[in-house]
This record gives sequence, structure tokens and C-alpha cells, in this order.
Amino acid sequence: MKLDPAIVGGLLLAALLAALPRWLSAYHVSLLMTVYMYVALAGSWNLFSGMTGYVSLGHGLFFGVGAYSFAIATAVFNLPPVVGLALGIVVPALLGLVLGLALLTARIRIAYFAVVMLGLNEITKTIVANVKSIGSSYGLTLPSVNSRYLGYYVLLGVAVAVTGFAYAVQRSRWGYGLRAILADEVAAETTGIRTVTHKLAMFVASAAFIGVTGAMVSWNWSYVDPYMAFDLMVSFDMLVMAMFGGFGTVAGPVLGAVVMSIVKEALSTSVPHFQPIIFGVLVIVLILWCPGGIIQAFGAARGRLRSWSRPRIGGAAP
Amino acid sequence: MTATILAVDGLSVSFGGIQALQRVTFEIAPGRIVGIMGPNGAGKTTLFNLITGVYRPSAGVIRFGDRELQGLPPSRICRSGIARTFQSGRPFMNMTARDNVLTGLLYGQQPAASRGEAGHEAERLLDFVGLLPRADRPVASLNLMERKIVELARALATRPKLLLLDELMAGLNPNDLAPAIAIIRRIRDELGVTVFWIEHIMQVLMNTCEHLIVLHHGEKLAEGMPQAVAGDPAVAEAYFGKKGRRELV
Amino acid sequence: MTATTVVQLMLFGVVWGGLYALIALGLNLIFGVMKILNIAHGELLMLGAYMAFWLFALWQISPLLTMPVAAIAMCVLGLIIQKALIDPIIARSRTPTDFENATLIVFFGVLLILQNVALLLWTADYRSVSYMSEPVRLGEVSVAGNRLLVLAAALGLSAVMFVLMQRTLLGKAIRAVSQDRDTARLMGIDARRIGMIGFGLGSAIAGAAGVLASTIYVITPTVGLLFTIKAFTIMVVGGLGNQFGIFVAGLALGVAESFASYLIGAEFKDATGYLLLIGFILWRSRTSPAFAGEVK
Repeated sequence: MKLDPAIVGGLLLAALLAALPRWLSAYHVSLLMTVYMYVALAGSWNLFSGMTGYVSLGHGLFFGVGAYSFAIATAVFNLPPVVGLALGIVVPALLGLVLGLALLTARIRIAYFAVVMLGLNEITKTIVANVKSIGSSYGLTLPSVNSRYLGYYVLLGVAVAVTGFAYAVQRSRWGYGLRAILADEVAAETTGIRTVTHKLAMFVASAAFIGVTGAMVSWNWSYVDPYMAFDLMVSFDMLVMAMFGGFGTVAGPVLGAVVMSIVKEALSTSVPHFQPIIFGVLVIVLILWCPGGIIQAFGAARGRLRSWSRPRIGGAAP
Repeated sequence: MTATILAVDGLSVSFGGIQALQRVTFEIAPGRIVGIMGPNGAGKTTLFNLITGVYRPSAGVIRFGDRELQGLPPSRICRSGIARTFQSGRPFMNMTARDNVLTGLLYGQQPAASRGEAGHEAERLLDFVGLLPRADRPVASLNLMERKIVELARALATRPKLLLLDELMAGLNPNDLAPAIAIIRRIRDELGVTVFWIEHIMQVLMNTCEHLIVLHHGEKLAEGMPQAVAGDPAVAEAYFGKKGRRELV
Repeated sequence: MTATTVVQLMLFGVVWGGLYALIALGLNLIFGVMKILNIAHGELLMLGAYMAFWLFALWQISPLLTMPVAAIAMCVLGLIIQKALIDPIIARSRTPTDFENATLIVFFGVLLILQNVALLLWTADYRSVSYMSEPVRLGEVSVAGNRLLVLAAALGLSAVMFVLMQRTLLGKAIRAVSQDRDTARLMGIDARRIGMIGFGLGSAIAGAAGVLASTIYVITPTVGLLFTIKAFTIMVVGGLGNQFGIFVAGLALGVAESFASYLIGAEFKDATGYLLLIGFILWRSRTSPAFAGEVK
């Protein structure tokens, strides 16, 4: 049985990263955690929007819902944090299922879907900011993380899980169906692909991954409020990073997240509000000149990078 | 009464007040090559969209074998054994020809049991339509004829009993017509697939179809053997107006 | 609820409804001629509002005078965006889906750039324009003068839009391009020019609406998005391209919000319209095959 170099390489990298914290300062651990968060977010956005072509402009909704699920469970109901994390997976997933059933089961114009998601994020923000029992606009204070590297390992775990899941999906039979939906949904349907099932599954999966990321992040900060949980920038950042790296590929969101989160960190000490402006300009430049992101830019020269995201079948050489 | 593979009864659909199809009724016998023609806007593509589940009819029944298709999602209809191509030629542009065919094999009526099996079957199909040398080029780099053949191969990969072709010949230059017709014949002769074909080019329809249906303004205008339909004055009038009652061929 | 309260709520609702309708008409115009859903539409409104604020705060210039200025300024900005960003995308898009996705993302970028530039320049402090705020008595009810002004202006501008679309040659051309671009071009209409005019006009409306909004609402850099979402709601419910439907839907939303605000609380009034939107999209996408577009 041939060993897939991508899987071996990925596992080695994960093991290396897992061993790292001991040798790093608290600042660097924190920086890496931010990187893992963005890898998880960008990867999850890509799981749905990148693989089906349904651009979601408000996927940060699930981040916020995950964060608040954790917060409400621990701060309001005093449940153990582990339960909070579990809810951070389940509640966003259920929301994803309900929304998916509502929005993705009949033909909807992609523009409508995008704006509905954007609006949902905004509206949820204003609703949450007005409900007193969950802290309204002041937010909730949460129990702190008592174990030293728990956040690090959880976020690394989620990042690895998302990337691994994306890789597995791309290489599977399901991957063909998703690529077909991305290319031409109606033709995909008439070719026998249950587009609804595919879209729904990826939507729920992305919601679950983003949700647990939101839960862990808010636990790490011991704090959550509606403006940070449902911040428009969360939705935007995950989109920009996934697109910068490479829309619809597996390695793309990882690359994009790593590069852009370091850029974001570097810009955070400069003029406030500067970073969103830079990212805004970047995404415009991307769309106009290189919609496929870094991977497209290097694709011609480094053909090997592409084969990661394309399964090999029936003897066709990459 | 010969067996029927597809029976359409009283099929009607309207879009925002415009009656696109009005009580269309006909039957298709298995193993035939049946053509459907009519002036632009007659409702031919709409008919295909209804049969394949892309649109839902407002009235009428579509019977395929022993099941009724109206209201079913397109993917279910495909898996029941009906495949189609589109007028504008719609293969999956983000893949190679081989991947297009593989997709059809993995999702169609009898999905391939393993990737290996799918791979072999894809080779066979690509060879059948003559695309094997170009199988691994991205579809975006192929010309229109080749793209339409890719789409055709993908449709065949879903192992249909009935193939709906929407203007396969549109946009092809005269040299490509004969090979395309040959493939259609081979699809019926060697694969046993019934072909239901929208086409404008009379010469093609006359030479290949055993049965012709004519639609006009959403209604069935005429039906029968090609020669008979060609000589039908009502058909001539639909195409050429009251003054032009002359033979089509 | 007394009759007076009802009338008061309706009046409030119609003021906002008229403004919403105007904004939605602008968004609808842009969507019609360019097939772009301009999610940065509200940002132009925000900029118009800030123009009104600064001109009033610094030089006491009345919002009535700022309105045309803001309209022209936003028209220019809109045209710059179109030339610099949209034209290149049109050139390289292979399918309508590509185009829709690309423009959505680009406008998301524009949205964030404009919001953050405004935050950078003017901070997040609440501003407002205190203009004609003395109450006017209309029988049993009293309403601030500026609200009447907004209502009158919104109705007036909407009426101008109607006349433009229905009675002028330009309007016919715009409607033709909105319905069927290719056929319109075959008829000799310069679709590109119409697209520019439509986009510029839509942006101008957003700017003017922003000036109006500044007199009855707080001005912050993030105020635009909610307006965009509401305008989108109204556009979908009223019917793409259906000016009258959109106008009515706008008024309906304003009135609904007004009553919801009174009955459930001001905090939840935004959610009202939004739930309406989702419900409507759900219903329509199942009952109308034309809702999602034609299949060729």
C-alpha cells in the first residue's frame, strides 16, 4: 500500500507543531494559536464556499454562535468547559443544518445566498447585543483556561482536522461531485449528483468546524461580546485568506492563513483600521489579477503543488 | 402496442403567465432515434427540462418505464436512466475530459463499484467517442465540437436507457456533422440507448430519425415518419408562414 | 393602542419606509443594468451622510443644499468603482456565476475599505445633523420637521425615478437593458453606456438618501450595512425590476418596523424585516421556477 506523501508530510508537521510549545515563549505560542485559528477558519470557509462555489459573506455567523454556545453553557449555566466545547460543535452544526435546509434545498441565486448570510451575521449581532440574559452588548466573562497549552492543542487539532477533512473529501468520490457542482450545478444535477446532499453536508461541516474554533477562541480570551463574536472582519478574513491561498484547493487556505495571519499580526501594531483596508485592497487585487490565489500563480511552475488537490484515478498521471 | 420507454401525457408548464408548453402528448418506443423539431421558442428545450426534472410541470404526466417522473429531482431522474446534453454544450469546465466521464461513472445509474473499475470504463467510453488522445487535457482548452463530445461521453457514463440530445449539431461546422451523426447511430446500435434529439438541421433529422415530433408555440403540431412530417403543410406553414407552403427537404 | 398612536406609528413608518424605498430603488437600478448586487451601496449612503454632517457642522450648510452635492459626489465615486473594478471583471468572467461571485467579493472589499477609511478619518463617534428638528403639529399628532422633510424628499425623488423610468427614452433604454441585455443591444442601445448611467444614478441616489438619513438618524461609519440589507430585502420582496412593488415593499417595511419597535422593542425591529426576507426567499424559490433564473 503506497504511502501518500501528503498525508505523511502533514502528520509529521502536526507532530512537530505539537512538540513545539515547550521551546517557545508565550508570545510565540499565542501567535501560533492565532495562525491555527485562521487555518481552521479559512479551511472551513473553503470547505463550503470554495468547494461548492456558493460564496458566503457571513460565515462568521457560526464563529459567533460557537463562541456564544460555549459562553452560555459555561457562564450562564455553569456547565463544564468540555461541554461548552461540545456545544460549540453541535449548536452551530444544527444551525447550519436548519439554514442549509432553508437556503440550499431549492435553487437560489448565489448573490441572494451571499447577502442572506451577510445579513444573518449582522442581524444576529444586533439581536444578541440586546438580550440581557446573555450579557447584551457588554458580553460575558468566561472561566479561564487553566491548563497551560490546552488552547494551543485544541486549535492545532481543529486546524489539522479541517485540513485533513478537506483533503479526504477532495480525493474521494464526493470530491468529483463537489467539483461538478462548482463548475455547473444544473449539469451536475442532471449527471446524477445529489447536489442538495453535497451542499448541505459541506455547509454543516464548515459550520461545525468554525463553531468549535469560535468556542475555543472565546474560552481562551475568557470573554465574549457580540461585536467581537460576530465581527464582520471574521467573515471577511476567512474569505480573503482562503482566496489568497487558492480558492477551492486544500493547501490554499493553509498557505493563505499562515501568510495573512502573520501579515495581520504585523499590521496590528501600526495605524488602526489599516489592516482591513489593506486586506480590502488585497482582495480586490486578487479578484482582478489572480483569482486562483497563490496556488494559481505558482501552478504553472510547480505542477506538483496542484496534484495534492487532485486525486489520481485510473492511471492518469498528474 | 409496442412497449414505450417514455410517455408524456398532457404536459403543460407556464412561466409567469407565458404558456411555454400546452398539453403535449406523445410516446417514444425503445431503441428508436426520435427527433423533435420546431421553430425557436417552440418549447423543445423546455420539454427536455421538464423531462429531466429541471422544471416542474404545472400539469401532465411523464412516464418513464413504470414510474412517473414529474416532481422528482433531476439527480433521481438521471439515476433512473435518463441522461441529457445541453444546447450550449456544458461539460464541467474545471476538469479534464477524463474527469468529466469519471464523474458520470461515479454518480450515474449504476455507480462504479471501485475507482479502478471506473478508470477502465472511462477509458472505454473515451475511446468510443474518439477522445482518448485528448482525455487529459483541461476541457477549457478543447474546441466546441470536442467539448460537446465530452458532455456526450459524460452523459453516456451515467449508463442511460434514454439519451436526450439538445442541438448537438449547433455551432458545428459541416465537416463535423458526419462524425457526430455516426456516434449517435453507434450509441443506439451498440449501446442500446434510445435517443431523443432536438435538432434544427433537416438533413440530419431526415437521415437519422425513425420518428419525428414537431412542436410549435408550445403545442405538438405534427408527429410521424420523417417524410410524412416533411410533407405536412401545417409544418411548412409553422416554419415559413402561410405563403411558404413548400416542401422542407 | 389609541388611534393617535396608530397614526403616529404609521407616520413614522412611512417616513422611514419612503427612505428605504428610495435606497432600494437605487440598488434595484444598479442590479438591473449591471446585474451586480452592490453590497457596498450602504457605504455610499454613509459617505453622503458624513458629507451632510461636515458641511453642516463646519459651514452650517443646509442638508437640502448638500443633497445634490452628495449625489454628484457619490455618482462620481460609483463611476470610478465601475471603471476601475467592474469593467475588468466583466472582461475576464467566463460565466455569469463567475461574474456574480467576483463582483460580490470585490464589493465586500470596497465595503470594508470604505468603512475603515471612515473609521480612520472620523472615528466611531456618533454624529448627527440637527436640522429642522422642531416638531410640527398635524392635527392630533406631532412630528419633527425633519421627518416630514425626509418623507417629502424621498417621495419626490421616487416620483422622479418613476417618471424617468416610465416616460423618458433613457428610462426605456434602462428597462430594456435590465430585462434583456442582448436584445437591447441588438436594438441599438449602447448597453455599456446605460450601465454607466444606471450605476452612476443609483450611487447618486444612495448619496442623497444618506444626506436625508443624517437628519433623522445617527451617523457612524458602520451605519451603511444595515441599510444595504434592508434595501436588498425590499428589492427581493418587491420584485426585481418592479419599481412600484419595491416602493410599496419599502413603505411596508418602514411601517412594519415602526409597529414592531413599539410592540416588541426598538432593539428587535431590524430583525423583523430580515426574517421577512428569509421567509420570502424560502417561499418564492419553491413556488416560482423563474426565481432562480432560466436554464438553457
